Amino acid sequence: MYRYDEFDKSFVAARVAQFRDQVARRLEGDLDEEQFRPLRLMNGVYLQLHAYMLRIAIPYGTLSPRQLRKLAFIARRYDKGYGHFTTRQNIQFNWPALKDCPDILNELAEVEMHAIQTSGNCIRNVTSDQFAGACADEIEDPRPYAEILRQWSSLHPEYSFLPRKFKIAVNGASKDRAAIRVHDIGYQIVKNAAGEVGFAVYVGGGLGRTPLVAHKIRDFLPKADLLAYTNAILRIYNLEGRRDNKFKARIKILLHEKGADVIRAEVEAEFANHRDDALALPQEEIDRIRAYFAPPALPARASPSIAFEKRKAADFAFARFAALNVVAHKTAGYGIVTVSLKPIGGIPGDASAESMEAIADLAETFSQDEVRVAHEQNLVLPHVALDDLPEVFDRLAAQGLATANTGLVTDIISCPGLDYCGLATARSIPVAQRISERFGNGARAREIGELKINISGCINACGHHHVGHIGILGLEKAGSEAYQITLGGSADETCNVGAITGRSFSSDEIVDAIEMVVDTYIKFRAAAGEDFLAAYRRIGMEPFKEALYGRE
Amino acid sequence: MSKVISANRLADGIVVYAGRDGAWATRLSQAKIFASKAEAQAGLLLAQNDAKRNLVVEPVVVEVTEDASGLRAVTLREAIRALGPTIDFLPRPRAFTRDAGAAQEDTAKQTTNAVLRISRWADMEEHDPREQEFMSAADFSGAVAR
Repeated sequence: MYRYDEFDKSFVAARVAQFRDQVARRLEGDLDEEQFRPLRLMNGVYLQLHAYMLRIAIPYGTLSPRQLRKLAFIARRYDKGYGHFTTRQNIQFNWPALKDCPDILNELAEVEMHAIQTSGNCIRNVTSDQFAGACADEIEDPRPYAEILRQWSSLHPEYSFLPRKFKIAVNGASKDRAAIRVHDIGYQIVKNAAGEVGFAVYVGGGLGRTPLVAHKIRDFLPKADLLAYTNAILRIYNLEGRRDNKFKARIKILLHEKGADVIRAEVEAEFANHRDDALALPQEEIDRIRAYFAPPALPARASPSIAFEKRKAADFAFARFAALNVVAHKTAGYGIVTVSLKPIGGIPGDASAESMEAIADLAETFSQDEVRVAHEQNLVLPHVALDDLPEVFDRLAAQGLATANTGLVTDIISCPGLDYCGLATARSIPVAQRISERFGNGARAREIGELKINISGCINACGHHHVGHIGILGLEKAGSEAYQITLGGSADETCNVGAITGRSFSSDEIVDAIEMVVDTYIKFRAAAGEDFLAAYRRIGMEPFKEALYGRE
Repeated sequence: MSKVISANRLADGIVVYAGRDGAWATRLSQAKIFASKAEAQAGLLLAQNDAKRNLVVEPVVVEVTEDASGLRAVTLREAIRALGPTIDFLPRPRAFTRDAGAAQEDTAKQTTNAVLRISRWADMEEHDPREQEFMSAADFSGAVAR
């Protein structure tokens, strides 16, 4: 993985020293809150309901055991012993003291981590597929390109004061696991007719108050032009994005108002006119960055794995884990393991310091020193030999980290909601917990099959509810929490925004309503193999509306 | 309906209330009550002075009612600010068990109890999130093993 060079190291150290000085001046009163707020936001320090919140960048969701152990240390020493993995592959701590933040950033700098550009009107964490570099269905590893974009976008002087935040995602398999079509820019690695690898370019996707699916503005962008083209898009956005209205300031609104064809033409013209040689990516540079992401030298393993097969035959729980939480690796004899952070009734995406350390140990011993963060708020061990899987499973199980529910109804994605967040209108986590308990992790959940539930505690949609198969939006109605259900959303390559079922449900009603939706699906599905999304797309909203609201 | 003044402490972000003695208190029960809007506005001005003195940030007026169990915030948001998150967010030390199923059940049971207990905000028991503080930097004398 990418290691800082001397330039990066000294830069980050200087940045921490600068912030330490800013915090000291704030605490002494030389800076007031108006002056200080933008400075602390530039270092990922938010003020929420109960405390400050620190959002730490995890570039394209890749972590080393050393970094994960440092996060555990920070959780113990400076927080309440846990952290929360987010829908953009970052981690958040909910209880840091402002006065401790410079020390925390210092700790992070020691392991080449930081909180720069995790807030504010700038280019945020470039996200990717949690299975990148390991999955069998990959066209090419997207992470080198995410890293190139990260380096280019870090503290870019022209793009530090954009009209609004800007989010980029890169995906490397034909299956979109990075939700690129709901990002400001989504890059999909593709092969052209000549067999060359490049990018399909999607622009103007986003969620929040106005969910919109991105438009494809380019079928094929050569790799060498990645930065020049990105620069062209950002230039147009910076010039034309609305600064008069915060709620219309994202690039998705620009595309929506002017039309994709107009924006495409503008971007192409800007790209052609300013095809800056400084931004052209020579093959040597691409290769240099790719070298950091070279696949680990995996010792040859027998395939099939006798230990793996024997354990599956003897242990139903292990067989279930293997079926649900392990996917095919590009190398025979290996698997990609999802470590669920969604125990039944648990808080989605939270991990204790102890869990983090256990996973760091496993990554070191069994996964080539690599851990990934999924935007679904789970962790991944990307390079596990199937021979080792029984032991990995046992050790995860001892930590309560072996819930076999990837993609099932209990693998719920949830924002922090009103329990933590100052923007929230309703709580989201308790709803996730109750839904999880209602369905459990037995035969019923397996019978339901793949079903992605996303919960957001306000219209900012940090839980990505618009693209959940079932989405839940928490609102406030007459002083009480009210939950609106959407159905049929999808974040993958068949991306679309979910449709609202009708009137909202109270806190007491919502779990029953979700169960009603699921039961309706089971009733109407064509066969056990037809998953919820496929069934919804076939039968439409009517059966669900009728089940939920009857003859209302 | 009465009012209190609330803010977040600058140094650590913790929720505080303008107290009866002029200092900032961590518990809603210790807050100074303002009977009228005018009094609350005057209290807010004083609080804004304290913001200028770098003690607190973002002071606001909060509606409260009083019942048998004491002062309660009227809105759910302010109740959560007063009482902490309604979920059992603190990690529990794991008991090592041989059986993965039992370990999962255990976690689920603990969380169920927490979730059931706080399913309605009006039922929230008073508990001070500060009491649950796992560790703070102040607890370390400098001899921390890294």
